[in-house]
Amino acid sequence: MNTIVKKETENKEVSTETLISPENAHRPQTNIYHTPETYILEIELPGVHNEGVDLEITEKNILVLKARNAYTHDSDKKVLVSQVRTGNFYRAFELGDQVDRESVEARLEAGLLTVTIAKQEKARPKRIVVSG
Amino acid sequence: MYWSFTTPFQEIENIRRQMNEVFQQYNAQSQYPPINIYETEQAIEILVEAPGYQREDLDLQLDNGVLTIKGKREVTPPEQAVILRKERAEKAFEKKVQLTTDLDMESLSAELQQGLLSIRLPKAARAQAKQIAIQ
Repeated sequence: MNTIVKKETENKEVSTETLISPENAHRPQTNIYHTPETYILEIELPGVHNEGVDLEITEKNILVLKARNAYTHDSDKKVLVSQVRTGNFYRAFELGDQVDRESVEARLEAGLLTVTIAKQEKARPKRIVVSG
Repeated sequence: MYWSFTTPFQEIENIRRQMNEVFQQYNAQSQYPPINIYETEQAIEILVEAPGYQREDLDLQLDNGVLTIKGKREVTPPEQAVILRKERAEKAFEKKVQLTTDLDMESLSAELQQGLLSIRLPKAARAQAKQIAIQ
């Protein structure tokens, strides 16, 4: 009995984001583009609110996305079909070392997360003026 | 691929995960978009995944007890962009749901929020369960 109580209090200290891992999460569909100056990621996160998204760039330049869809239905409803992905989303993207970690923008709109990551100055194309 | 220092067991685990992803994607495509259907005493409620869809991209029609959910959108890449990866569905979909209860046609409603479309189809008064008092 004692051990169960202890476990419950331990779990409370851990935030929900840290518990999301590839094993317990859905993998969101993503489009990735690159323009001369930026990398753009479009990630589909249906039902996810702003506060449910946790984005992080690790020291190895891996973009880690953890998101939580807080949608729940009342228990008095009878479930006839259940396909919508509720719960956690997780995905990691290797960014390489050409990105500028300081200029990352993320916007969540209508269940679509758009992340724009600028390339470092040295990785952008440079136009050379021909003289003479 | 990139170099990484992992144990063989981790490699097996990685392969297993990658294969699962392939099957997940395949399943997701065959039933796109995923929907939930709930029934309560008063209504049928349908929830549709529609991330990135705008209101004008979706079309709902109820005809003869069949609800048709249509969606069509274009995923346009930003200007000057080169596509590196393309997973977001962009072909039109059409999903039909056969409803067997009588519905109150006057008070159907739908709402699009955070990429989830929720449709509420209240049951007609005669289709709702009724308690019969015994005299």
